[in-house]
Amino acid sequence: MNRLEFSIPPFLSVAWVSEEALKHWQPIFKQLNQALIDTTLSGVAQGVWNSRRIRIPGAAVMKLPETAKALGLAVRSTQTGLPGEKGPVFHDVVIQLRHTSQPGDTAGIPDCCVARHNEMQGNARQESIWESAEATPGRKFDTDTITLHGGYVHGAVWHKLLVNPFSYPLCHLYCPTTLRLTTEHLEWMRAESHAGLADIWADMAHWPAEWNASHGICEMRTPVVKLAYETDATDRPFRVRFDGTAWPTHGAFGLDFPYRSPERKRMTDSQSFKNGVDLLRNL
Amino acid sequence: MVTRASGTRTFRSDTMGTELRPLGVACNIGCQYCYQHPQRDVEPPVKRYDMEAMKAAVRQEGGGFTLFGGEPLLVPLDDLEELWAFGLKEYVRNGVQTNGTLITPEHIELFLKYKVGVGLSIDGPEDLNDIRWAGTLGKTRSLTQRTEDAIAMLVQAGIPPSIITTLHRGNATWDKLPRMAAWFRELDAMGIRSARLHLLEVENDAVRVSYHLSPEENVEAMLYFSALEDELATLRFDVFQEIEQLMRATDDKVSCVWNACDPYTTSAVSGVEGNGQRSNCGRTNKEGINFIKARRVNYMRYIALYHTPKSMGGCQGCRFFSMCKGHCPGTSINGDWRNRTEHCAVWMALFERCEQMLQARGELPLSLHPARETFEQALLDHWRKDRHTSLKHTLIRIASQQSKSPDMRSKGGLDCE
Ligand code: SF4
Ligand code: SF4
Ligand SMILES: [Zn+2]
Repeated sequence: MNRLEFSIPPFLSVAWVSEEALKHWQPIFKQLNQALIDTTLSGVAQGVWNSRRIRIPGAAVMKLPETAKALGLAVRSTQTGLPGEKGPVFHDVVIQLRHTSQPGDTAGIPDCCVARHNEMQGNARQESIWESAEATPGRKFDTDTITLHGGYVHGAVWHKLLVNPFSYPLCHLYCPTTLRLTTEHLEWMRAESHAGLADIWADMAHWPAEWNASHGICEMRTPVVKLAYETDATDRPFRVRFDGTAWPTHGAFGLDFPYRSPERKRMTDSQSFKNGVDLLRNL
Repeated sequence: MVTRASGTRTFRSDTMGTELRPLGVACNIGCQYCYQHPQRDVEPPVKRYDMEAMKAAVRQEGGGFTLFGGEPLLVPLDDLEELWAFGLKEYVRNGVQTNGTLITPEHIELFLKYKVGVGLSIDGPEDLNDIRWAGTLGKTRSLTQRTEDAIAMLVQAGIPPSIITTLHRGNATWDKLPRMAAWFRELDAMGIRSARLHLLEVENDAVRVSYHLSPEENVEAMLYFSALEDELATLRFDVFQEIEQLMRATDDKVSCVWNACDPYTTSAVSGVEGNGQRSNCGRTNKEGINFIKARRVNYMRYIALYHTPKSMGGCQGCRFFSMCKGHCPGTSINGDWRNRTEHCAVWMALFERCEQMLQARGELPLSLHPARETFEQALLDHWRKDRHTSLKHTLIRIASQQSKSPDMRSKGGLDCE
């Protein structure tokens, strides 16, 4: 990945594929965010995990210190970006029981992922999806495009729209420890009466999706919404495709991955259109 | 069929804010290069619309509308009349962008009654318009004739249309240019005043291979039409005027392609569909999906292009950057809006030509002005704050900040009223 020497200010553009998709998914994502925060806090408080490191978008962080205090938790929250910088706000939050020692720099990061964390910090990187994808067993590589199958750790893919419950650079995208934590988290969500949201969140790891970055701008495409946001500046597009088998309600038909393509293109595959191409080519 | 998404409208009016598409992209012909084909490939044809939902959405957008398609004259006359009566009452005048093949005397009556400005897409006379394909060669030629008849009818009725012409191998290789020139001379003699020249931009590989002009051919054609303009009495190709306005920082009325368009919000173009849904300019629609507009505009494409070397798809170091800004995101290299336009070589040649022309007149164009970098920094500052402004206003602001150094004006060329 060849980097360029500039950075794009933080921004986030969100474009839904349709009004129906927006109306259906936006409220679900809001509930999912709250459920992910609540269950992370309750899980640490009840000893399911010793500590967790999550990333929370925007205002959702406001009530966190109060809730954490009530649950006897120590919380260290760091706002992303530079002080005074404009743009969407995210918080990296480390959560652990209050009576344990102060959270260290790598608290909440599985041992297998610490090296990736250090590498990314050392290189002042914003995202690590490309490197994690490169290191993923079984990934397919084809000129600047890496393809993986569903069932990967999907927090980092959705981190601009949803809480990322595993906010650290992954050793690879099927990191066994993080996948185990994901399973534990899903079980805990179900135990905490969020079974419906847990199913949706599990399913999302099997939606087709594409992360692609070029010139410091990432475009993250999913079947229901696409996002543009700042990322590490590269000289050309680098893509990671998640070749999922699940399909969301109101997922869009479209010409490119990750959309569902029509069996036949209504216009440009039509005989009348092709007749025109053939005839005019020879005139 | 639509030759290009709006924004670069040819019948200019302050009231033409929104593109109203009652039947979506439905069209009675199938131009081979239409930029709306990705949507046609994916979506089933729209057959119904909701008049009240459309009016409500237009009111919410504010500022009037142009009837658009596909081909908007597929809408029955009664409904056209209802929409234009609404437009006239609430926004004083109307607009329509059409391929002209369906215009009848009844339509002309409505155009007159409801003050409808007509924009008409045609690529030349007879066979030069064959790429605007209607299924068979016979039908294509007969519809081309109907478009030409419609131009004559409109002129006769005292409402000459504005013309949009796309340049491609079918009408703008060197052997065809003289016929195009003769045709534009005829239009000029008839009293047509405005024509917009578009460069072909198409995703379909077969069409691209057959019709794309090389950058050199595009430059040659553009320069040819620029020279032709000097001979014409009233007809003007607005692209040349706009380039001059940009180079003189008098660009407050130039079209969207020069205005740092954000592909997620395309602020120059608000589409309203037949069901009242709001959408973006179709130029950016490469996936065949009519995405809903993002809520906030940003200019990150332009910050990225400014810093990205040319060899990597950016505009770094280009002295025309303040003016061109990498051009329309819908025409970006490889269909990726993070790249500059694929027509860079053409715009650069036209800016260079304008630069020489202004210098010959004793003016100092912005591209050679000592304050050029100050301009660029001012634009970048604005973009970082999610704002965009014209060069004209940037000049006024810089001049007022530097009022102690009258350099900006004394060098000549840039007008700071
Ligand atoms: S994409 Fe933007 S610049 Fe290009 S034609 Fe549409 S509105 Fe204009
Ligand atoms: S002329 Fe080319 S390099 Fe210069 S700003 Fe335009 S697109 Fe970019
Ligand atoms: Zn790991």
